[in-house]
Amino acid sequence: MHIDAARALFEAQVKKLEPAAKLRGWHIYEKAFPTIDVGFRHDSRPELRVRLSAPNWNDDPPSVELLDATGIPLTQANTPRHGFFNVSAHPTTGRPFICSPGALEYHTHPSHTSDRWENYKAASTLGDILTRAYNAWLDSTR
Amino acid sequence: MNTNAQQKQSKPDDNHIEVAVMTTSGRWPTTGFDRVASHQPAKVQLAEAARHLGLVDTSKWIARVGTKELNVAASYIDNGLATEVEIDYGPREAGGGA
Repeated sequence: MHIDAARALFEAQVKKLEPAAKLRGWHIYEKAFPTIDVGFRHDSRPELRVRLSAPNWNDDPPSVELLDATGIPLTQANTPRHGFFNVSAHPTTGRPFICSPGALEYHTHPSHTSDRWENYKAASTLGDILTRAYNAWLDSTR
Repeated sequence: MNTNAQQKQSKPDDNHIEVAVMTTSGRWPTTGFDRVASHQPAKVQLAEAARHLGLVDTSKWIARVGTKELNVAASYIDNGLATEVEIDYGPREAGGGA
């Protein structure tokens, strides 16, 4: 997708998600194309920060980094315990990753390269991807 | 002299509730709240929001108030909701497994 179209779609979807982000108590660290960086906060739980990088949105899914509140990548020890998050090292990034459709790391993992992003992109906004991660985090244990 | 909020509390309507649905694709209604019957299943207003917001597929979506997940087939009363509520509506997580 042409970069201008990617940027326009990114910016439109980021703008739409901001009211829901406010309701949920998300902290938005960054929202300039191609990066949206959001911290999930609730009660006394350790914050989970999810950084999406989507330079070719939405022809490609975003790469998703799992970070702590200070922006340091999560390790196996501090990744939330839920099937949505894979605590093992991703072959490309070497870090825990989101193991669910919508994340580049899922679609490029050798276990499910046949589960193509094209099957999901029509029904996946940036907000949807962040919401899935948020709901998994709420339901997780650690 | 009562404020508007105090007037609302002093004149409860057990038969209706003010509802807004919030998604990352927008809010329905866009401003304010819709007044709906308290005995109406929550899924009715969620479907209305999906229609107005052009949501593609909500078959695997969940509705929460705060962090409490709602039974969308049940009424607002049966979900313990009254007066005014903003429903947080969005896709459930899907674990892939690798």
